[in-house]
Amino acid sequence: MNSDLFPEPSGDPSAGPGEIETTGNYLVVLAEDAVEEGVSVLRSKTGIGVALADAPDEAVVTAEELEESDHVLFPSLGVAVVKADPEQQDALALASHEESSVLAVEPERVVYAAEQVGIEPDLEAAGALAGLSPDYLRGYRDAVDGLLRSLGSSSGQAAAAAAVDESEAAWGLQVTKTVSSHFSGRGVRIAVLDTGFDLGHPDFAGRTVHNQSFVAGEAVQDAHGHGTHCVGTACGPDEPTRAPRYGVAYEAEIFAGKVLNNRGKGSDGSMLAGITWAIVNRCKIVSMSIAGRAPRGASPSLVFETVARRASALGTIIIAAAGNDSRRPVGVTEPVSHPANCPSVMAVAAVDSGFAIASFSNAGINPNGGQVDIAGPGVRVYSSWPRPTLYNTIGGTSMATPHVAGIAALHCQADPRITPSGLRNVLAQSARRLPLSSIDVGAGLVQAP
Amino acid sequence: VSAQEQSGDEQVAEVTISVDEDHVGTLDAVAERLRAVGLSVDELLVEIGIITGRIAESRAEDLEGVEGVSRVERSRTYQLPPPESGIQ
Repeated sequence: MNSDLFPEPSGDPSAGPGEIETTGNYLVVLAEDAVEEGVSVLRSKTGIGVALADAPDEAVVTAEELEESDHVLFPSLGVAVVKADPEQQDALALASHEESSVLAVEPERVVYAAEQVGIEPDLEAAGALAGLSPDYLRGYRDAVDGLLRSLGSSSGQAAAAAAVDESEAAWGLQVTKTVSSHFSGRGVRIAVLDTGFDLGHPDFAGRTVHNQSFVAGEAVQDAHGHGTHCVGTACGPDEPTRAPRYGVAYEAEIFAGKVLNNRGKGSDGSMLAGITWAIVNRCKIVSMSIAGRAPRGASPSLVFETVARRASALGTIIIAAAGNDSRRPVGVTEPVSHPANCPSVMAVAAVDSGFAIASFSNAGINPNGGQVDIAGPGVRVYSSWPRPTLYNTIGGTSMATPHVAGIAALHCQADPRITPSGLRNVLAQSARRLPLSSIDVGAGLVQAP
Repeated sequence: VSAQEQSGDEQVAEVTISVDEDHVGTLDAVAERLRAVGLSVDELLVEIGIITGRIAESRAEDLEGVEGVSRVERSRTYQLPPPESGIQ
């Protein structure tokens, strides 16, 4: 794996790979609703006792405490800046994986505020005026910067996305190597279970779109847009009526099942009926950009796990969205949704064009199979939309999922005898490793054969 | 519980039922037994061994004891954001 392919992971676009300078301190992001618990976990698991720093009127005392303690906590941010020896660094890393109250640990970077040089004297002056030590202010600034950097998904994502030339192909097709693949998904059947499809979309003229509604009283015709967008990503044409290309498996056979109504609502029953339809029609791939929030600690549905196993035995893989419940910029990471949390369903997270995890993307934090399996492009994704709009750019794990489904079809074409479990393996093994936690992105970014 | 709730129509539970491996081949017979305990069957999904339907809330527990049933779950509902939302 070529690590030089990875973009600079920090929010500072001027710093190249390998140029990240760290202070030796660590930023510890605690769960917003469990800061106190996080503090006590830090003390018991790493021996690091953090001093409280908060309101400016308490800060004079706190700043003095800071000088003595080397560690400081900003409760309103839920971020602690700590000094850690190598043993404590390991303990911190372990705590961030095992403790729900410790969301993330990362080295404090020296260079990420572009104006740092100009700010230094101000810190001295401001500190003197307010009765705060420059160290205190520096710590606070770094904590805020750390939070802002984890925001990368909004501000940084937009900047990174702008850097990708999408005049010929959507960025998601470029980073997954779909554009250079020799495969088109020819003859492979993909079912997209969603809000239906705009059957009159000009980019699909002359293409057979098998379709079926499982919503009482509503035709397949998509009056929402979500389904048309997902079908577009998974199966859109090589040469759309207007560039850029946005579809992966442009010669796959499309099965558009409507299991969500035109207001975007649906149920387990219609989803299961759609899965059955896909199996009966020998679809090798089912793409479901449908996610129901799973409570923290919840086990997956045994009904859906049974269904996914039976589907697999009949030759059909089910690929589903990990869900969009997380709010990473404020330190909230939620577990993978139903039904993606079933062990036999492939769960897809979303990354942006800078290869950062999307701010909303759920993580593998629940037991019994609730992992993320793989990641796909899911921020600022351009694809088809019902007439008269024709195209739309949106984000979500819903958009990442049909990238994986379309690429799965390319793998099926490459190896027509591949089984669902073989397909699952090849998707994971060929994924591009990312410098991110497998809790967030599983095996990494999906890649075309 | 208010008098109004007591006198109102009883809640109906939408359920999905998986049939165990030994009874996947005889889904019709399992469905008949489920009807006998009050299930109004919506669909028999033969390929995946699933029966969906509706039953009075107070009788939903009875479904679990029916021969051939491996699991009964309440049907979940899903709601996408509106079309104009930037995150889907």
